[in-house]
Amino acid sequence: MSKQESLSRREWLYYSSLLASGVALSQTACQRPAGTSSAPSSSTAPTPAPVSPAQEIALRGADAVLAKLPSVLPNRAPDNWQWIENRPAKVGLLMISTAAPFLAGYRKAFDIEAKRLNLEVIALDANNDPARQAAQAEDLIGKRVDVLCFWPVDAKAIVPSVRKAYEAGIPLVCTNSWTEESVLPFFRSFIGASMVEEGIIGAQLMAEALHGQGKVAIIEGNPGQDAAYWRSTAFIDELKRIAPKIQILDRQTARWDRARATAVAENYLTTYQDLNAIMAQDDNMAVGALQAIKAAGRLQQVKLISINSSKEGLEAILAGEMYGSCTQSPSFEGINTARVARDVANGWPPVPRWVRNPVMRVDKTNARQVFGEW
Amino acid sequence: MIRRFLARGNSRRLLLLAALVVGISTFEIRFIQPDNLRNVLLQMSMDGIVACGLTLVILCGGLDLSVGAVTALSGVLFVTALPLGIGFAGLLALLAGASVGLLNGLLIGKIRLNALIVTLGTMAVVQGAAFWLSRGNPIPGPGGDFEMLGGGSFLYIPLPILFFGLVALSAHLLLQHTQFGRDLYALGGNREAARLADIAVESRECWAYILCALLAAFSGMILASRLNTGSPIIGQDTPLQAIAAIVLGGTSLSGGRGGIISTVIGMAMIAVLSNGLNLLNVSPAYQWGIKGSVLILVAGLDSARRHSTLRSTQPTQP
Repeated sequence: MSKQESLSRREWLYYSSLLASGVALSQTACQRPAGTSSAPSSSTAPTPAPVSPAQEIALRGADAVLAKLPSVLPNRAPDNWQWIENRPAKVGLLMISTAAPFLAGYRKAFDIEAKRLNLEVIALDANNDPARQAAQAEDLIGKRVDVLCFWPVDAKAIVPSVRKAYEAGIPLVCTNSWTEESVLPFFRSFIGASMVEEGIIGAQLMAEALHGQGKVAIIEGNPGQDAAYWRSTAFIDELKRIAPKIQILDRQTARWDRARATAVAENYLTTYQDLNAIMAQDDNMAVGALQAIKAAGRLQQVKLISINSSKEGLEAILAGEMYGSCTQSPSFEGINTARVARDVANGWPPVPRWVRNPVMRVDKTNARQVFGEW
Repeated sequence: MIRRFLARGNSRRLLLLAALVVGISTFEIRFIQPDNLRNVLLQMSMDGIVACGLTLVILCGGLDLSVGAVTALSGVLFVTALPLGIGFAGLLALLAGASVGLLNGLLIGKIRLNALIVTLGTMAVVQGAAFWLSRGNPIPGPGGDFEMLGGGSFLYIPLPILFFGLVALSAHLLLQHTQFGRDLYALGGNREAARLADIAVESRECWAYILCALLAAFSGMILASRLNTGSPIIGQDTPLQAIAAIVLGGTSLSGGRGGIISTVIGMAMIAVLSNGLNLLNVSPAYQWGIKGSVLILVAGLDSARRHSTLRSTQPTQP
């Protein structure tokens, strides 16, 4: 039995050689870029025919040409000058998921801007799981990133991770959704919209659409996420204030997911025969709900209000299928998160405490002017 | 003991694990720094505790998909019941877990319903209970001492790692050195033969499910303390992670073959892979693919090897 169970000599040899070749391969792969970068500069020296500066720029790039020109400014700034430089930095980004179109738009903008700003991005996807996000935060703290950007899945569950990162001395940035208040002072900056403002605009649109009375059901985003909480809370509070006759029948989560939103809306439509309106907390879910409303043939009876304008959402508003929504640009947040991260990493003072994503009311009158990003 | 630890499959997997570690750390030296290794261990602890329990069930030929929902329910229950005292709350959470396990065990062991179907059903029911109890929202914990269970440490070792070590050790001893453990192997190997050998098949199976759910509930308590939140959406991919770890470790899904050490090694492989891929800045889209391919590759190699050894030994037998 022991002969069977223990590893044979041939197998040991096989695995150790596999291991050794793996290490050797990875070593050479690591070293190659360093070797290649220094080699060609000396070998391409002989250029007999004189070329014009314009040709030279075309051939060798502007940097090479500018380096040969006598510099107007001194190479080294005088001691009493303040100057800034754009050092390359490692930026960690903890995202809630990548599965929603808003997030894809955000991520694309963030990546483009980060590349331009010489940032190395490590973006992780928590797939809507707070426990996984906590693990990913630990990974990035272990990696010692220069800046860590949080997009919390759950405003409260992220608190221990934020505290851990802060204690590790990593500068923190919060984006899109806030964390719980107790750790907000740990963040250098917040980049995102006011969810309260969005909820209030939603309530105003709703009061208009229903002329002050009716029955409403809400489709919510991730439970525990700041965006979902405040969009609902502000919406309900504002409605109570401006249109006390409007009644909230139900609120259920579809977790920012279109298919789930369709299912939730179908349930609403069958349960509440007297339903007057549905409020969806983002356009992705609103489009899902719209499909359910259309399928039920109650487009005339059931109004739809949404938040943050997608292409499909704007089309639905123009077609008269959706009453209105408000803007929240994902690329604004993505680009500015990358910029703030660069500023924080380089220690450029001062970073704004809140880079506020403008929220604008969108309805049939101005939907044509709004640019749908996603 | 050491011989058994380095059983053929396990030593092969340890080598694979070592190759992973060496490979990742040549690209990213931070990987093997103590802080990061501690992170890896910490991250595998919660799912690892669940996987240890699930190993018992899988060894006796069953399957439990409800473990993830049980972690969610126990976390929510633990935080909700905290005002009644932490000991009472913990007991309540464990009790809830145990009763789910008992239900699974009775339905599967006594009534002989299909394990996949039963636990799929209990998963939905338990998930629903967690949502009902929390009204769909995460429940914040009180912080302070409550966070010690998942966030505290003893001699620089985080408590979850110690718990995981203890659970793994006692599960290993249970499997290898008690009649109960031997019975589980026998049951997974051949149920009818086990019954003919006078093993109390139903009660053994039932206990396996109870232990599994208990450990899942314990893991949920640690998780709730670690996040300082009782969240109903937690642990949705826990059963898949745990099953992947068990399969990676070389435990057979049809039962009767494998052990806790294999599961721990499998869990370590998954944890090293996900931490390493994160450190190496591999895009999340590729991470899914890489993890899935590794799982299929390892399981496939295993199966191919088993078939080839079977074929080579057949002619020698009369």
